[in-house]
Amino acid sequence: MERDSRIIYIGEDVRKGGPHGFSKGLYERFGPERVIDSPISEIGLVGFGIGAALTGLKPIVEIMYMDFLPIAMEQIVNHMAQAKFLTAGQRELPLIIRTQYSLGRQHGPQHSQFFPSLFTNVPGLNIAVTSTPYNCKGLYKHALRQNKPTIIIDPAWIYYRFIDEIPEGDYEVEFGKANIISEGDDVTVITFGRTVYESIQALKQLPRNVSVHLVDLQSLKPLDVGAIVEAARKTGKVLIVSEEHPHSSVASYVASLIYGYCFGELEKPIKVLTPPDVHVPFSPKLEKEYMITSEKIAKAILELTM
Amino acid sequence: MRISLSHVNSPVKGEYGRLELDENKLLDILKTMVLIRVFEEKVEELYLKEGVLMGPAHLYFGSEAIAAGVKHFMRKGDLVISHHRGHGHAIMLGIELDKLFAELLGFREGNLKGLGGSMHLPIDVSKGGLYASAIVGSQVPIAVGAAYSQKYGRSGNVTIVFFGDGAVNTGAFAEGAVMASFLKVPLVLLCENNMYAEFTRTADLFGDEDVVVQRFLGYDIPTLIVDGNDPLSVYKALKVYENELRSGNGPVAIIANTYRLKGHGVYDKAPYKPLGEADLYKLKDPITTYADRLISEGLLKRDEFEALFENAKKMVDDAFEKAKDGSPLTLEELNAYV
Repeated sequence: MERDSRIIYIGEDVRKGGPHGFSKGLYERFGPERVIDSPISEIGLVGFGIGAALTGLKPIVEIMYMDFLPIAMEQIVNHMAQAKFLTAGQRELPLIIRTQYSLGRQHGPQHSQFFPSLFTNVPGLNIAVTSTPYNCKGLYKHALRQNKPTIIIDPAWIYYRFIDEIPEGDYEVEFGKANIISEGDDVTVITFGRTVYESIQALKQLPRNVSVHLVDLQSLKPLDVGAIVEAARKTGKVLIVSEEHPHSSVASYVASLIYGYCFGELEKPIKVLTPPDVHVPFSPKLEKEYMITSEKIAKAILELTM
Repeated sequence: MRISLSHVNSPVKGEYGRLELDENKLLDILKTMVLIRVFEEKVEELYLKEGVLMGPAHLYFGSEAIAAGVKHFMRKGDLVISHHRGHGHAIMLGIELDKLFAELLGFREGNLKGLGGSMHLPIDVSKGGLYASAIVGSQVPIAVGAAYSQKYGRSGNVTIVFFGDGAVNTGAFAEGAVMASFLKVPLVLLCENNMYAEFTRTADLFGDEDVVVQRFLGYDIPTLIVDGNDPLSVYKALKVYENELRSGNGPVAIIANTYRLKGHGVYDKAPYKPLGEADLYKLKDPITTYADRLISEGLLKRDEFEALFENAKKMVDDAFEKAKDGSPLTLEELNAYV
């Protein structure tokens, strides 16, 4: 925002930093024209962002919880995604919607959901899910320097795990590039979002002789198909880990890509680890059972090695 | 509770100077209305008689005065955000007629390269046509963002968003009005109240003739009611609020009462309209009414009025001839627009 006065930030409670402190200090630094507290009007917010982005600004629209994004679904699907197409290329749409999902924070069925495939299904949108302070900062910086309609989803869980580790300096994490977290030869694990953290923990629980090729997709659209196929070929045993609802998920699309590109090179059927096809329960104990923990991931990896 | 609601009457001749209305403008308003009418007649013919055009088209018959009234208010940098019934806006903006026909035919030569079609016709950013939504009401919050950019850039420009009486019942309209009100953007919320939301008379739905006005009362936005069949009333309402708008003091709403002379879409014969209603409104036809006014004020002769139709017909026919042999984009080319 310091570099580019076209960037404005709008959302509910953002001048006070929002519920997680994501926008803390912005208002004091950039003032009322660039940091705007909005009424609880998600359709209005996203529509505002589209109109501002069509006319030369670079708005970041904060939607407080991912569960609130479907309120503005019509604006996202029909207008945000289609703006370039509908103007036949007369306009790009440098709009970022940023949101978070609070799975694991006992927020109940309407404040915990993670459904990126509702949006990856729509042509024209760029979509990233952050997993560490490093890629969170880098993905935002990259998105701000592109002119694409973008949705960036943070797992709120990471805000409270890495609090002192926000890296200094100016760098970008490119959309469309997966991050290879560890090189390995026995099992390939492909994941994104909160379960990146869980997967890293899972590696520590495995016997020393099991080596895992761990991939964080980071960007769901564009998707790094090359990295996915290469990672699958490397071990022939693939585990896809995702905290999405399982049906028609990004995880299932990744599995279909691997089957399509390298079916003959797989040693075992792909394993897809997601929560069951039910809503997120509030009950803290039940929610934990619903979630994908490091123990579940370690167990699934071991099953693939047998 | 603050409610600001007022009627704006048609200007008398003595007001023309103050409203910056000279003879050229007064005549151009009529020309614009005639061109819209003749264009729409051609489009209707191409659908119903020739069968050359396909898909939905929502024609502007009866609302010509609104587009024409807006035309001479607009300055360079002002923006229009339109809706599915927007052919009149496209013509008012001055988008080339052959490009419009090419767009309706789905050809690459169209102003949207055949990607948008009838319901997005008024999009040509270089002419001030920023956007048009085919989803009723959704353009309203988008227009707020465009107007915010104008305010942020201290441009003195305004955005005019068109929508119909059907749109005022949508959530997008309500949230757009909320955003416009609290951000105090230079936005004109221009309701083309043609009395019908698709096949249903809006007032009948609620048993309330004032239902459209009711929808504007909760947002602290000054609201002006005008005769939407009179281009000078529409123009005057805009001029009355021009300083407020251009100095960034906030939005204004205009309810332009008009009548949809034909059906919802080009194929709709509107059998649901009360017997005689359309005939009654033909007596108040905005074009003949305005022409009569100019004639009585000595600004136009009857035969000159008739010649306007001849000229418009020739322009429209020539434009269609120029457009009719175009070709669509290829499927592969679409990637460049996503």
